[in-house]
Amino acid sequence: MSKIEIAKRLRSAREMAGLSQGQAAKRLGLHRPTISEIEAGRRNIKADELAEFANLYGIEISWLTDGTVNETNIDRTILAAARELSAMKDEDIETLINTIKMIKFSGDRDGKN
Amino acid sequence: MEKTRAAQITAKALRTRKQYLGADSHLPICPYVLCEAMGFDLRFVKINSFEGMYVANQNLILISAERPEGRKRFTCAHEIGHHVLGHGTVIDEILKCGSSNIEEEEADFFASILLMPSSAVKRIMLRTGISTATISSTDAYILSKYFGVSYQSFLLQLYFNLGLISYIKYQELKIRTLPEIRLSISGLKIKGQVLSIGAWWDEKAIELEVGDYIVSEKELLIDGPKIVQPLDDGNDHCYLATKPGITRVFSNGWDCFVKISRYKFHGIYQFKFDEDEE
Repeated sequence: MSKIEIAKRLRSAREMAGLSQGQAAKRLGLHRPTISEIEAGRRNIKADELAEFANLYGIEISWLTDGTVNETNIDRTILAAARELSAMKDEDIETLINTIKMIKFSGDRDGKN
Repeated sequence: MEKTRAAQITAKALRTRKQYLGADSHLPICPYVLCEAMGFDLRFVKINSFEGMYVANQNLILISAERPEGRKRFTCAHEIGHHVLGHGTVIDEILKCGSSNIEEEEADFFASILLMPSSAVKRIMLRTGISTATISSTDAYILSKYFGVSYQSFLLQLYFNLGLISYIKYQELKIRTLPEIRLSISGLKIKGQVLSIGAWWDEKAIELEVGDYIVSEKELLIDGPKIVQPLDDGNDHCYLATKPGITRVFSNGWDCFVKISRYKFHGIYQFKFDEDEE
């Protein structure tokens, strides 16, 4: 797995979760510069740290590590429903489906309260 | 919708509020808090061309971050309706009006009752001294913000679902525009929401986005982060939400929490009111 690719995905996952670097750092008990170093690909990230990020952002860890998701995650009916939508723009349907795929299915996540 | 079906959905909406929030039907509720209590993953997404979505097998509700606040809350309640009524995964597009789909109609009705139960509407009208015979557009707007819904949804609830105002009254109120109503409440030409509050505003937090205003009968003191600021242009007791976070306002004997989010917040609901960190 490439450090720079993981860094990029960490940034977009954080943005999708609605957190600034400072807010994410505070919730993970890190210093803000640590987050920006990681997201710039300048600092190595350990497996347990990666799990903490995935947990906080509520996304699949496999998406962070190699950009893949378990396709069975997504209900086929969603794809069918999405394609039928006339009022939705194609790019928005893409974004919507990718978002649903990335999101980790879990009843409870730590770091949220 | 048949009367028996409407009665069933009403009972389900009221039972859902009671079961997960312990909220009796005379009180307003926040649909986001209800989502959280029901164990949903609730997220606001930056997707402009849809309203919201309920993903049954992932316990997930997605809402477009791009809509006005009242609309987002109604959509959220609508998606909870799809869940409670057992509709399965549904994506809701913009422009639902005139939709002939029965599931959509049922989810809309569920949402209306969930957010604006008959006894809550009647109670707040008694407390504010607003009567159904003389209700003005300003009154209706103020009450719509108490329930956290749009002006139009509130009018529809008064006229169509609860039958509290006449068709003529409904038409008269319906044509008034939001900019003119907001101007008459605040004396300002503004785009954000204006929440007009008084001692009658109880049992719920004041929820705002940065850029929204509070107009109060009395001067408000702030106990906590200074994230609402009085306007210094001589406009009496008018406050602007300036930063995200949670604070408390009070004036003799009355107090209330104020929760402020970023403008068009997108992300996980639980992070919505996080303060800015540098």
